[in-house]
Amino acid sequence: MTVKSLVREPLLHFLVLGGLIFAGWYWLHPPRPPVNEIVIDQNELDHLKMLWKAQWKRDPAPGDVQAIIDRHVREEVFYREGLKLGLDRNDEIVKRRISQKMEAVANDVGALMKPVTDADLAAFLEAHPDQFRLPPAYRFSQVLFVKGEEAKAQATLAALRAGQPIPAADAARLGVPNAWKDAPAPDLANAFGDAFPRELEGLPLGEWAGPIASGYGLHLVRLERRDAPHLPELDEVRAWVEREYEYQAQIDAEQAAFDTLLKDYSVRITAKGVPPATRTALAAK
Amino acid sequence: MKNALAWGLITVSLGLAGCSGDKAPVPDVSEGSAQAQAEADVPQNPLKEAYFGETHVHTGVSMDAFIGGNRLTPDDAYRFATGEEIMVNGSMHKIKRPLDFAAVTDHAEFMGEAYSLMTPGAPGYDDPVAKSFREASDLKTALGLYGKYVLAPLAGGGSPHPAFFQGAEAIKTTWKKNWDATEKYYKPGTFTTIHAYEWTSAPGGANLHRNVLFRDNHVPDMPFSSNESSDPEQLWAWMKAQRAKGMKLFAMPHNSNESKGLLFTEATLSGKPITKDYAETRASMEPLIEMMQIKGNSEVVPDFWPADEFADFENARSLQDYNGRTFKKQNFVRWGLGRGLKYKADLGINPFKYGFVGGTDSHNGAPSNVEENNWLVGSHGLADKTAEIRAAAILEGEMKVSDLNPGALTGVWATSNTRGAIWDSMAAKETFATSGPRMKVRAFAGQGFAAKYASYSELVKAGYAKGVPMGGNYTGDKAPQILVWAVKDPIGPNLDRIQIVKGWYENGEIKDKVFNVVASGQRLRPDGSVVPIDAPIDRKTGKFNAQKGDPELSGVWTDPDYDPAQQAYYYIRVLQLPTARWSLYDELRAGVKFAPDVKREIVERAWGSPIWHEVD
Repeated sequence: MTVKSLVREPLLHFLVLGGLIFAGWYWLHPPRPPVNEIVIDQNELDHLKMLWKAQWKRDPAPGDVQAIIDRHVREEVFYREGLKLGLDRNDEIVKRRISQKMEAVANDVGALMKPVTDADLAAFLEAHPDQFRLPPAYRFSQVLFVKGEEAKAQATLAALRAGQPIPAADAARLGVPNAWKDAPAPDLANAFGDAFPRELEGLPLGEWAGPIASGYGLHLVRLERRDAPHLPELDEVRAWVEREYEYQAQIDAEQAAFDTLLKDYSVRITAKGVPPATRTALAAK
Repeated sequence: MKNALAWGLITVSLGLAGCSGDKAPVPDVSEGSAQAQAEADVPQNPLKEAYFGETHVHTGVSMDAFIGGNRLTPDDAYRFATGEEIMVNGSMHKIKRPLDFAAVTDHAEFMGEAYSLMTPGAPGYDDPVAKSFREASDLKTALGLYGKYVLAPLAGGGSPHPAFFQGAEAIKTTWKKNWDATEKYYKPGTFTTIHAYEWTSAPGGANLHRNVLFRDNHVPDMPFSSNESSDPEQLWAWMKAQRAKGMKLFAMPHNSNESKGLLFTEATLSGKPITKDYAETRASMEPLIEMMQIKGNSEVVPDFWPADEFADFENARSLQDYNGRTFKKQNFVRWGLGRGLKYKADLGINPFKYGFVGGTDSHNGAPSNVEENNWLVGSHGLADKTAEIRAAAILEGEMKVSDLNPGALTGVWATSNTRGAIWDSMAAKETFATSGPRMKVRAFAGQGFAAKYASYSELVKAGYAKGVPMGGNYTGDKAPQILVWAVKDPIGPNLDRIQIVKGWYENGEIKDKVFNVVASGQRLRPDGSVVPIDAPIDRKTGKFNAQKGDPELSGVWTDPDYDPAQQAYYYIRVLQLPTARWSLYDELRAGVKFAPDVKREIVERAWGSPIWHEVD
């Protein structure tokens, strides 16, 4: 091997170049004995003082600061040595604490990523018809008679059918208004008792009928309008849908965060005594 | 809030300096004007309508409730109030009828702890004591923790906070969370939520608790708790400072039956004589008192009012077995009203000028779960969860469970179902309390009322035109006429009668008398007594008599003993026909057996706020 060929040898280039870089690195970063450094900067100390204050409800005195730092250093040293020995592994408390923290972070970050749009709300409304379906609502006039007034009720019914107005003495008997405008069935159950909306359902439209019974007595009713149960437009119930969406989104975000993370894992159960359904459900994911 | 929490946790997890509790933003005052706009759009009824609601309920945010197993949030409580089915005390449960309004009143004292207890990853969450709270699964353990960490500090013994408490920021965070929920569920015109909390002072075991209610969403960033002071004068001083900042709030005491004479007091808590200034402040801060709740009816007891034939009602007599809370006359609302008249005569101001509300004080997060036949899951977590427990157990440190009742309800006569209208009517005391049923009660004191009105609306118009409503002052110089009106609960039995309770101050003595004013079915005798209605319930089914009584009662009563020189109050009490008590339903449903002296049948009732005749 000649000098010339030696100069062309790539291995030599590599060694020389590597040596130069290495020398340069040493020049810039002279070697030091390996130490574990514990730095207490202003942020760290302020944080420690704040924790101390939360516990003792006063500002630490100079003597207390000494104790705070001593305790912190002691804790750090044991903590780091513990980590080196792997003492954090398979510790139930550490495991649970970290998983809880991660769960909270994942959930909140998940929720933050999704600003709600009208399309989301509309889809949510569509997907939960049972939840948002408006109950039947009724528009009607009623005249109330108490027990013992059955004959009076019949006479009044005839008069009302003949076009007479509601007698002044029967205005808002017992404090119950005569006119009800598009009142949902649950409100009517609240105001008249459970059976009343069901009784209303059987009445004809546009004419005086009855009497039907309520918790108060007997009612002559002229039903003007009946709204069947229906799924409302988003605009009618936006605030409600938004609130439910948010409620559900929070629950979903928790599950979604978990499901996403779970995808990176395969769960294999080799232990005995696990129900087969559990085994296959986790395996399927 | 959530963002702050997320980033707080992220920074903690990255090893940067974390914070001990995220900062609670001060509520945005500008939202107040949006609220005012939404309220203005709701139609008003100048004759007013009765709205029913809860003014006293605890969620898991109250640490005592949390230890008892309650994990519900104010969100859940409001959802329950609107009729939704919620997991309550281990079972899916709902009230039979949605409420018109509700105020969640969590204890201010432990709001900071609630943050650590309920927020995984929060400082203090993993503290062994916090852990033990979460994991208390049997009554004995829960009671031990409750005694040590709740009862003792509230009675003024030991540290007010367990070691895992993280300080003021944690309190603010929880208060803000309650605020958020209360904002979220407010639907002007349909369902009203009220910002509120409970100040839980019990010096020496004497119950001086007060619920504090705000008119709108302009609230302080932190409630004043009994940790700051257990002296009501300090609470009022703080309230005064909040009022000076433009907030509107009042306080309502409850459980005078447990007050050991310190609520209707003869001296200030610090031992000084009651002054005019004290009386003025108290009257201004406290328009209302809770007449009844789960732990008893505080109106009267037969021991000191033997002439009142209906005094024996949900008296919770076994309260006397604990904490030295022996009954004395000075612990009852009717005494307080009369003592107030004496102060008025002596100082010129009545410090006990209270209108009435009713609440539950449920620690299950279940507002107004008051129906006797729907009290399936009790009121205090593990302590009264099942019929078997209720038939035999003691609510530790308080009373026998069989002496509990499902709680009372507040009725408010307001022009609309909005915060402003409901709070204003409460502040004006145009309210009534019921022992649970939704009967409606009105009264007006004035002159020139007709014996009968052509219609209900004519009656109400005349009431306002010629008199003052409940909560007002009668200012005439002739014997007051009192126009009374009541209607039954649409799902309850008919009404038995209306009574007027008059109290007055005469020759240095506080006196009272019950007058029967109207009785159903012509049973009122000329001497003022009433033929008993004799309408017992069916003990085999719990059904009430559906034949007797009247659905509506009204009339005009003139005070036969009026003396223009006497301080006096008049309040109305309406009795419905007897109905089955929850204990009978437990026996019929679960086959348990209560002790023979436990009542199975009760006469439920409503109390209308007083009208006063004041002599200056």
